Amino acid sequence: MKIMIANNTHECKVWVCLLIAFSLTISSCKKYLDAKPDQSLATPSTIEDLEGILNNYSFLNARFPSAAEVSSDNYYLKVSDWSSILDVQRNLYTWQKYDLIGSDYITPYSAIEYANIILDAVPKIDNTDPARLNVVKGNALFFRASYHYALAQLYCKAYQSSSASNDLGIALRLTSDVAIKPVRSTIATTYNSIIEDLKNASALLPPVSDVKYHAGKCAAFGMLARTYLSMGNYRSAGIYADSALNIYNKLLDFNSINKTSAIPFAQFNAEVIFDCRSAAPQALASSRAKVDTTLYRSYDLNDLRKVLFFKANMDGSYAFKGNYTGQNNAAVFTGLATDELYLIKAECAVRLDRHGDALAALNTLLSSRWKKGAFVNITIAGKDQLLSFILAERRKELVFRNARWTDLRRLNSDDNFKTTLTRNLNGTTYTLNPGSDRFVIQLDRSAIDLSGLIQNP
Amino acid sequence: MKISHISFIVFLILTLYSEKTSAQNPFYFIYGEVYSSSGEPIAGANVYWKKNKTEMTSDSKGHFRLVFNPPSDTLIVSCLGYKTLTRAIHENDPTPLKITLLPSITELKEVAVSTGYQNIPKERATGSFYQLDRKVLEQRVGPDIISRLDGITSGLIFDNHDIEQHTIQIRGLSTLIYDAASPLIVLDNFPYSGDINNINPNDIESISVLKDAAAASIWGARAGNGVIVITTKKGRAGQPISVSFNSNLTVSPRPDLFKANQISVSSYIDLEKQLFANGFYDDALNDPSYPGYSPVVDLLNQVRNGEITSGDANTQIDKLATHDVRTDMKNYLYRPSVSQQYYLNLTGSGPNVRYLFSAGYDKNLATLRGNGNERFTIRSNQQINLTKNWTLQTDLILTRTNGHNNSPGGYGSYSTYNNGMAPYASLVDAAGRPAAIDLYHNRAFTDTAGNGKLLDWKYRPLQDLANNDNRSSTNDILINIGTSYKFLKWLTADFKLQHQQSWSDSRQVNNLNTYSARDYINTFTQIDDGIPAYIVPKGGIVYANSGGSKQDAVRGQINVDRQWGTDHRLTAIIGGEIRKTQSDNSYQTIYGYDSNTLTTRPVDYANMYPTYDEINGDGYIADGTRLTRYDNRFVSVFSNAAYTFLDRYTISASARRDASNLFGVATNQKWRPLWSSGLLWHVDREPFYHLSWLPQLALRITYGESGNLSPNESALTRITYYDASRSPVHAPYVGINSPANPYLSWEQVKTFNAGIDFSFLNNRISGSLEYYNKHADNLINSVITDPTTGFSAVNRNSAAIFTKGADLVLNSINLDGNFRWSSTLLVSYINYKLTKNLAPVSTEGLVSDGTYIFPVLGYNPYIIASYKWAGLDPQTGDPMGYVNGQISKDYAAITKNPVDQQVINGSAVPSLFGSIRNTIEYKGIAAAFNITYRFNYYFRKPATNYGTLLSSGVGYKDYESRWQKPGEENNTNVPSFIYPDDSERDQFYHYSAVNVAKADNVRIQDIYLSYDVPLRSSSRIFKKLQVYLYANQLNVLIWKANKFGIDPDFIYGIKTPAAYSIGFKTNL
Repeated sequence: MKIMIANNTHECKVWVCLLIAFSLTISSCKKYLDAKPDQSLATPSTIEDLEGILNNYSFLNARFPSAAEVSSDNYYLKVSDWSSILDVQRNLYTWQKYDLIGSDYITPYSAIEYANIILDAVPKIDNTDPARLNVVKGNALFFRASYHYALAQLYCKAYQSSSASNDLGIALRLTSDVAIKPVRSTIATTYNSIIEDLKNASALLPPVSDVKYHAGKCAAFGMLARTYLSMGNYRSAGIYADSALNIYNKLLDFNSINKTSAIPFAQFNAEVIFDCRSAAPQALASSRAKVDTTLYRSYDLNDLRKVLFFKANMDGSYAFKGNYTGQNNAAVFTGLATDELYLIKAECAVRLDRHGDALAALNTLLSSRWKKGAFVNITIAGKDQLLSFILAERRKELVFRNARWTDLRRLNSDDNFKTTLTRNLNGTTYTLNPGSDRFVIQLDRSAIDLSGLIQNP
Repeated sequence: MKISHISFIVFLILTLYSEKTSAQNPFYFIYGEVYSSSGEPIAGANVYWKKNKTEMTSDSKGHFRLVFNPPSDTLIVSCLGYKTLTRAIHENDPTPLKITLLPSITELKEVAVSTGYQNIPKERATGSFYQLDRKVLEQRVGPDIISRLDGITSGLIFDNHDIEQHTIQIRGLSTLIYDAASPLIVLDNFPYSGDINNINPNDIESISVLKDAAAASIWGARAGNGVIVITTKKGRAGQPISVSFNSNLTVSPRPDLFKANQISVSSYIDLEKQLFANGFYDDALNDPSYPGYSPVVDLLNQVRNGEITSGDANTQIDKLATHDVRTDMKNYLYRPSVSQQYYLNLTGSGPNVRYLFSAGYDKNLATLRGNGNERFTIRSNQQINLTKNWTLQTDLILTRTNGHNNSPGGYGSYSTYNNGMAPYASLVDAAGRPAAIDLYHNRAFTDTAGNGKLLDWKYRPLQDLANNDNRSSTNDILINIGTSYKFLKWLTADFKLQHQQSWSDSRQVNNLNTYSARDYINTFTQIDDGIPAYIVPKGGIVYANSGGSKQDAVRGQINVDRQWGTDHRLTAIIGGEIRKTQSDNSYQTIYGYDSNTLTTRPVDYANMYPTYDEINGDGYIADGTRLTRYDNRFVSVFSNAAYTFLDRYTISASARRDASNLFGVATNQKWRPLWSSGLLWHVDREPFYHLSWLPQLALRITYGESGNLSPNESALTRITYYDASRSPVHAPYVGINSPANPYLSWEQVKTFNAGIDFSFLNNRISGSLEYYNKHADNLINSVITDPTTGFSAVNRNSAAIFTKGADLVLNSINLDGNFRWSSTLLVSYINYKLTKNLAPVSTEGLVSDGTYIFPVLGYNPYIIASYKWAGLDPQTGDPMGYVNGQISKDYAAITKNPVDQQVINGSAVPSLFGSIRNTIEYKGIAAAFNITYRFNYYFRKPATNYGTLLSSGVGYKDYESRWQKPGEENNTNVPSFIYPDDSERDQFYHYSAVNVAKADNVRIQDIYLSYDVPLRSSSRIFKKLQVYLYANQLNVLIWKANKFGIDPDFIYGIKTPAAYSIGFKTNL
């Protein structure tokens, strides 16, 4: 019995020690709880995280809206094809007042939120390599500005300096905090913000980016040129087009491109300064969208764009294949390429009475588009004639490049160039007159319902 | 921290105690025997000296030997199922002592329920438990344990209103997050983190379902949806070695595919002809990626291209129309399923050890040919008395499962986003060989692509069935080690350790005969001068995945069970727990695999390659390498105490705090104290109680709070890394999962429960009735936000659900004696609705199918709501609704109707449900059958959406009765078919009230029949032999409310076939 009790005491002590050790363990496991629950999950806290977000091509580069191209007059649809596409595109095609816009409203803002998450995180990053952080910040600003610009082409009126500070602009998003309620700005504020972001970006970015899906200074200047052009500020547009071309000005020689290829142009080809695109709208599928007949006829037989941009359909119509996205689908290339900059340079030069500069830029571009030996330098003397010529070339070069809608809106205030658009479907004719409210698309219904944003007329 | 203070106090108490026990008087052994009133020895009875505090357990013959401290002491003998006996013993009393125990009065209350932390005698439990014992569980057959709860558990419903997602609800819905809505499953002592299908149901002793706060709060932040505690079988003291064997065979016929609700073959062909004439297929026919289209479209296109005459085409189409692909599916893809189950169990006990070994083997050939699995389980359980006060329990479960999954898919699984398998397709050609289906690419393309230089590009499901090699295996090991030490008669401490680890491996080997490998290789093949260059090597493609998961848990716990005199009793536990679950997964894709030489070939992931004929533009070869790791950690402290006074009053209280690394949120949010309290009153034991017709009556009241968490929430912006292979530009990238939510907290569920337990008519009728209500608040809900903010929806703690309900359990013994008939009636009523939603969804034009959680303020989250129906337009067959009380076809305006002009049908889950289970026993024959009923709920029947019919060929029988000419509006509610399709018109019809019906039904689910084969007493081999038959998934509808002939559990027509089992159990 004595032994048993001794045993007992010993056991007792062992157990008491165990219990104490265990309670100490429990009370000291704060560190234990700091482990990351999922190794692939994190909060954006390192520069690698932010660079990773910038690499999210599908969210940042491939989310531009296509509504501008769907609404434009580069193509037409047969009734049967029109019937088989989504409601929203059917309505855009016929310029109806329609507010279930969906992704063309939603995805640009989600890309802007990505950019804002980066911009809000940048100041909190332990900064060991300021140059690297500048590139991240510059790109985020560039993306934010590019998407704000894309939205401004759809959801508010074209820029008019006389009324810009009164006209309703888009809802600018300059914070990642989703709790801050969106409000619509004025057109002046909208464009000021775009320009400010781009100028800030250009100060942070290297001249040229390592990869074409990120922006360099050159892309920021190009985007500034595009923005100023859309505002009719030809002086600034010309300066920035020049600045961009001073950094990078390569053009493809269309003679060296395979005419029979289904996809003649590769993604990231030599002309591309910055690569981005829209989703592929059903309306623009090459099986549906027929190239406008007059437009197709306007290309000279010696103009290589006639064979590189288009392919014949069985029924005698033509489909577009000259996509700079390198994709075999209807995604619209919305990025920047040198050809567009040459055209901006030429147009601004002629408008500012620098006739020689305009001809030089135009001839540089066109000589790379025509059959070798067939091209004769353009020597048009009259200002108006040259401007008309350049605008016609602009349309021919930037076909299915998301440029037409912006140009229509810009030029509608010019009596010489205003255009009335028409569509025919099964005997019904739809018309879009210059200055029509339908040049401004409705905001998505959810923005009106949930934030009370003012709807467009 | 506080815990260490507590343990210090414990230490002091223990030290004091060990001083006191040193003084002892002389002693001698006294012998005794424990019998039941019928004279049978009782093994395992606890025999205890009140004064001397020594104790012993009776052996298999009921004998015990105990140290006696003269001259007198009081002996207390207790055993589960018997009344505790107290007798004064004097040194002059005759030995051996003869002790006779009387059975405890109510069978119901002798049970101890397990919470996973402690066993609480039901007699002193304040909380709401429902327990299923071995007898009931063993009257069901099947490879998994959870499905055995279906239809026989009070307050628990298998919610199968959504065909895709069958879930278990205990007392309704306490969260709005689907992924966080399952009850917690506890195996013995710890949450089970493995695949619950690894557990052999034959190893299970009992299951308790913890329904209210007092029962479940001990599980803290994970108890909000209720807890299911599964207790395994253990060896019993005093039991000689016993071997039992159980085996059964289950056969189930093929599903009846012809019961499927689908558009007829002839209508489908007519529709294709009409659409072709309208140019609907022109896009697909001209698409440069050569998508698939149906044989009829192919023929019509050949006619248009002048390749065949329309006469030939019509002959061929007429021939196609005579065939139904379901005939081929039935013959070539399906078979009757067969399951076999074998289970061997060996159990017994020695002087200081109780043990159990079991081994099980299950084999299942699924109804889809090519699919099946098998499972081996081995279990070993020991309980060893190391010393007088120190016990050790070990439990080991090994499971291996092997699966093969080679079927190309059953009915309904052949469709792409823009194409579906034609209902008249053939899986075999005229010669009986596997036939090609143009699901991915069309015939014209696959006939000619590459001029024979490419690999065959045709998709033949039956060729895949013959060549698929998709295998998986899992090894799982679960080790439980527990040890407990009895410091004092009333004070024990124990440690429990659990280690669970599993290794799983799956390999999908796609050889060159499978479509998947041929397609991928062809897609990247370049043909130069007639010589194919293989960018993806010509060889098999292997998708391999190996993963491992591990859970480690340690729990330390101090248990108090002390009685003072006969009037006071305190039981309490206090403890802490650390738990960690970790899982690693790696995925890999191997190209150029040769199964003979086991060689593979490298590929270039870094560069883009053009796809053949640019069908997919340029692309990268998919690099399937991916690694993932999850690491979840929990730390908890908990306590539970119950005090009983005069055996009449029990009060209980529990508290628990949890912390987890799951969110990475601030510490103050990590720690959430959850608590409960309860009261039990045995009214019948009061001196004033004299209701002779109701001899047993107890009241229970509890209130408390438990929590719920979603593993996918975070207070911070969350991002995920993706590897380069998923990027269109081949760069590793980061996606943003959710924006920052600095206000995040956990969901909390406050539950009030009041119940009465009763028994009367000499215990022939017994049962309980409970009322409860639950406030689930701070529920995380996806709040729709203005897309201008960058997110169309964000999750916020923003909603609340209020639930009230009642559960009635009524057990009756209708006939007793040789012929015994007993019944269990379960009735559950539940009503819950959303009472708060800080960002309410718009109720404008409110419509819902009730399929998903849809949080509309004031309604059940599974609400079904519809547009008012005004019939069909007699001129056009257009569906009509109402705008401002006027009949209207302005569908855009109808979708903006205010909610009071909508039809609120009701919930898609029943609010009144339960079952009646009858068991009949007569001379070794036992029969049990279960009738389940579900009332007061609704379903939306399948209605053809013309848009879906056009894009993927999915249409239902209602298409046949669509409006086609004036006058038919009197006989049909199905709108006319129009082209082009109008999606708003489709939506209106789909969501109109005319498609909603009451789902109420009563059905027989299963029948069990067993026969104990009479054995001659001289039989030395068998102690017992039982043969049993079981039929499950019968789904025989005794009554249903709807007039459409639709079983609401199978609204698309194809029922899960009934399963018939035959088996035997024997004891050696």
